[in-house]
Amino acid sequence: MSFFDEIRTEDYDEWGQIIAAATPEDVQAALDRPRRTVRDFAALVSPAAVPFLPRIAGEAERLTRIRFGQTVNMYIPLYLSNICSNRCRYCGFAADNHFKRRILTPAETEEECLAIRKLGYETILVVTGESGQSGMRYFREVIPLIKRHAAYLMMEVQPLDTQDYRELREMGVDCVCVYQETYHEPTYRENHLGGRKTDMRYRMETPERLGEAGMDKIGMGILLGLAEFRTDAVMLARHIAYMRRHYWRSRLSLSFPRLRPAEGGFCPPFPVSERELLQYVCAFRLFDPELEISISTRESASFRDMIVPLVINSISAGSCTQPGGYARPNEEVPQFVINDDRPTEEIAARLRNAGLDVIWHSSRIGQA
Amino acid sequence: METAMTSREGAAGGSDLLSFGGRSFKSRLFLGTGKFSSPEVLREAVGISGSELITVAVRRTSLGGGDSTLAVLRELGTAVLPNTAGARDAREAVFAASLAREALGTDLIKLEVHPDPRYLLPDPVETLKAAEILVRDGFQVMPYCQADPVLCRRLEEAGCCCVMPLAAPIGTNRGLVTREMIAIILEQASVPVVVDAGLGAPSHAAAAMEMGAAAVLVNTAVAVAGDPVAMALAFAEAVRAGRRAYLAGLGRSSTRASATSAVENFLRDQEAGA
Amino acid sequence: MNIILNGERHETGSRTLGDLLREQGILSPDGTAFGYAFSVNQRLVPREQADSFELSEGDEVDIFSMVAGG
Repeated sequence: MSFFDEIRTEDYDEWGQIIAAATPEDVQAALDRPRRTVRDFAALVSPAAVPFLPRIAGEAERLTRIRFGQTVNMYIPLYLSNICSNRCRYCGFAADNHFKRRILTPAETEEECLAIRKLGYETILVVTGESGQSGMRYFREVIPLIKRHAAYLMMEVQPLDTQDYRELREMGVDCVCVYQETYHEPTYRENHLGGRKTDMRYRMETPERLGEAGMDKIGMGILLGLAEFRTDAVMLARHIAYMRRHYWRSRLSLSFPRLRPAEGGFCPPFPVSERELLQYVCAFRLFDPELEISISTRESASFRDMIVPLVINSISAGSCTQPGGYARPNEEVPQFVINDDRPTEEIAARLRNAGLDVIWHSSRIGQA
Repeated sequence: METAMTSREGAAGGSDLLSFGGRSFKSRLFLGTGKFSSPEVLREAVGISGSELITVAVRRTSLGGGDSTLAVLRELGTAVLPNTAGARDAREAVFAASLAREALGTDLIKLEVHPDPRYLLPDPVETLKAAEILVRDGFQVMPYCQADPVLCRRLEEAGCCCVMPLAAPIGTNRGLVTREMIAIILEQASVPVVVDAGLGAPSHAAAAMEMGAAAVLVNTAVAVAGDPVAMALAFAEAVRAGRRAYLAGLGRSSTRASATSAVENFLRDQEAGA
Repeated sequence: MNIILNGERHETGSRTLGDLLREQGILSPDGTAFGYAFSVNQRLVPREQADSFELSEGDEVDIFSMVAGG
């Protein structure tokens, strides 16, 4: 049974009630248990856990250090295109938005890679919108050339078929991220108005296809602010547990993109505060200590300075979400507002001051 | 992992049945029949233990006299678990399994492949190979294996109805030598984990059950005890005690109360701003 | 004819495997063989086929049963 089929048997609202009904005793029990269940996660992410946040954060930090030592990975996003045929209400790239669309040629891509290399990055996250122009034919052209510049190559693009993922893996792609946005079907439908992204099943089954294709790392997450975040978080925790069970050879990474009010005119119906974000991330660390947790420049400098030394494994810096923006900075429409625009060296220095070793890639042993 | 939650009723005296391979068992002590001094001792030991699953081996019949083990077990009404002990590779194991199924009419098989006659350690490659063949052929496979977490995942993937990691080499009575690995297996397995081989004392069996094992299989420790019947009862009581302790939720260790000062500052600022 | 029964040379008047089993007293009064399995030249022969299974000179017949073992 795919995860989509499994989760259909769940009562989304019932989980909401379980979360709301969690007691301080449930939270304490979840904290004390050495191996936590989804039920425990629900307690940790519930309102009842808010007074426990210092202890939860402390435990999250301890688990992070034990599993990952004193290191943090740097990565940089490389936007190849902002052409997108999907109509997602919350995204700056939505098909209905009018602005100059671009897709980088191989030559332009090479220029961007050289600019990125100058910044010191060896881990690159390739990002495209979903369009006919940025499908497998395009990837066959650009991925091999990007791979020459990246020790570890990640992609955040439209969901693809298993066979495509196998092919991408052969080309040297190490990680693919596909965020479910929300596990709540009505919310998903309301916010995805057109394009292939309307197919919720296909999107939700992407991690499984990636597992089948033997992808080294699979990135998962929800878009915080779209639906009530605690219940959605529990569904994500269920999804992570499912992947651990069925595709245990793959690593899993978690991102937590957060919608901020007044961004591109879209007002998130369930805004998540920074404190709730901290609780969310720490709860995931306690639930699955092996998760590789990643943060982008969408979050503010002060929040990142606090949370990175605590539980984060991987961060981007010096990011640009405009295609071609590293080689030739421009003023085109961004996908989201960047709130930490400090240069890479400054952020790296801060992390070292916090006692972390900044590393530029951590590839598998034996990988060329 | 989640299965522990559903058997919480057991602690309160409700049913705590162990189910796998299309069967359910009240007793979580399985016994082997080797090395007993006589069928009478075997009968008494099995009877007093309450064990419901007893292993036997497949051998060429000695056509002069009989082995009454099977008759004893039939009298006691326990389920019989044939094993493939003696098989040195997958082919021999599969053949032994088919003989056992023909002889007993059961689809349950304990898969044992140990080409090493000294330590009787299981061959992981042949075991996995045989498991895949036997599962495809409709057997409910219970594989005896090294306490290797990855191997256990592969066996589970292949369709085995449980895994049986060894605690120590067969007959050594050394207890949970592989404890740390068994802990990982228990964390990762979705099928019952039956700790088999090397358990030498009831306290070993209790420890395995406290860790969360679904059951244990014991042979040598009972058969060669000074008083096998009393030892069988001791093991049964130990298994029950260990299981009860597990369900009761073993001692909670408290977590560190502190967080980094950066987090504390952050939370204080959030309070102030709220 | 001469066959090899459980590893030993054996002369038998039985034509079929079923007859041989009767000769050896393996079968129960009702003709079943619970607890036993047989192979000829290392291939399993189910009980239902034993009565019609014709033996040949030199066949290796093995009779197995369930015995004590851990």
